[in-house]
Amino acid sequence: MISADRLTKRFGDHTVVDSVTFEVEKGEILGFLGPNAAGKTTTMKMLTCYFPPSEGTARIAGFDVVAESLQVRRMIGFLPENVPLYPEMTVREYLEFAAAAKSVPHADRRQAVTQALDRCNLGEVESQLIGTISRGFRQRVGLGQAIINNPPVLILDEPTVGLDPAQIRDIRELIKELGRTSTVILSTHILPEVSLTCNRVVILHKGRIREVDTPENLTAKLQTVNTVRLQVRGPQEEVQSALGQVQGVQSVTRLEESGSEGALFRVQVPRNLEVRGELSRLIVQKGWDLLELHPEGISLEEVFLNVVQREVETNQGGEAA
Amino acid sequence: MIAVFNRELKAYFSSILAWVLVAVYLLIVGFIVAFSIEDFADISMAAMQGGRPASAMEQLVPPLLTTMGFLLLFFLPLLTMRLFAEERRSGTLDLLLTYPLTEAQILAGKFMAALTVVGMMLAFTLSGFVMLGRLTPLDWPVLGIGYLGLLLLSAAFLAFGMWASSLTSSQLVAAVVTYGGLLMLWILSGVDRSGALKERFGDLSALAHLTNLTKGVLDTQDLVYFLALATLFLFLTARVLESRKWRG
Repeated sequence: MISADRLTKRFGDHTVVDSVTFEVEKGEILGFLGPNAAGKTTTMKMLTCYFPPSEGTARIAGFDVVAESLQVRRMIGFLPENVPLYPEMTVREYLEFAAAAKSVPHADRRQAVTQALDRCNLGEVESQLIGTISRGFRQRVGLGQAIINNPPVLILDEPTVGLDPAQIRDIRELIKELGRTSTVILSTHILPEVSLTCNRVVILHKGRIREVDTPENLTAKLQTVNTVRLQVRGPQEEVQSALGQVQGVQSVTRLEESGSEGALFRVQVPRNLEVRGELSRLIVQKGWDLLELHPEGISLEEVFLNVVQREVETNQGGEAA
Repeated sequence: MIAVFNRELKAYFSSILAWVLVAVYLLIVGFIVAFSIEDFADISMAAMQGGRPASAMEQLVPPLLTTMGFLLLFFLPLLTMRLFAEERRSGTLDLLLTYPLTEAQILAGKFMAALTVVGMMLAFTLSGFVMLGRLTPLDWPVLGIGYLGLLLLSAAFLAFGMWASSLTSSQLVAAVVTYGGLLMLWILSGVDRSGALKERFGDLSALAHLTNLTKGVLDTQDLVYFLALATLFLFLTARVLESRKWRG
């Protein structure tokens, strides 16, 4: 549905997006993940035909973003960062304007607006001026204008930025719902956002793609160690020492004292080594109480930091050489 | 284009600015018309005594229409200043440019909305001439040409104001640039004692071209002047909007 081939954008001598290549299948929700100034917004602006790429091409539903810009713009719904809206219009008036501007046939406009109001849960504020509604509702109005013409592709730039946790959860659910009928690209620098919403993640850093994969695969790929978390009731020093003696264990860290409920330990072993059975047998043999044992996966946050850290080390290595 | 036109028109009248502008313009024009009528009565009396009747279409209407044009110079920048500057500041322009609309459609919608507001403003002023027509005979076709002149002048001024508004995200800067440009166009008819300014640039003066039309003289040169000015600045505005594509 969306394909970008060596997409590059330069402003003067500064390359903001550098040879970015990716594809998004129909019905997929793809997350652009990266820190500020990673090139997420610039990539989205090229996909939405706001400006053309300096090099490379992108196609949406088979249409080229430069040569067939109008056709592309008919196929997309875009929610820019900070949701720019007209505060002097009511929610309904604004959606009517968006429907007309997006060439929704006159006869279908009323229904399109009603549908957008329903899907985005805007019924209670439809007659209010946009300037008077809350940030969460503004975000919903932004999504409403994006879906008003039922576009097959949605491009959402930081759709949850500035929202409180309840609003974030609502918008996340809405995006998942929209993802059932449209292909979605969303950008964020909030990591849980991606793992909870997206099928696939593109990690962007300094304008280049660092990783593309599912959140699960990324976590697995970048996981260098297996971590097991244990809660054991027994002499803490002895427990820590005994755990460290198990073959393959790289490190044992005591996390916190828990009084009569025992102590928490984090045990790290190489990525492909399974030691949970051995650890539990050891604790039972020693006559201690095993209160809890479970593997700990790494968070997407750690994945992201790993990717960025790896790059910093590569650069430093290159400079040293 | 119609979607943008409707939105802009609503935006004008949902803010107090458009209402205040229309009201103040009408108040000033009404004031001037009233005094001009009084003035004309004195002139008529004097002319009658001299044996030659005064003509409202010669002595009253042209200066009145010119003054109305001059007043537009102060009001139109306030209508155009927000057209692009405000959209640029709030970011709505970025979103609008990703809609399936061409730059020309966006431009035309905004321009026509502003021209409609001015058209309404000018239409209301006709009531003054209807009152005048009851006191002295008026040549309505000639008056119509004068109003056409005002509308063409407005189109040129609005196009200039839109261009200024497209250059900046500050409404104030847009207004100041527009005032400067329009005053310049006006004074080219000559404010210097020697008349050198008029001699060199008189053909570019908006006042000179408007004056002909206020007298009912329908000269192609004047029509071309205003239309060319409007087209030039609409074209330049479109180029400014497109500049995002090749900047960088």
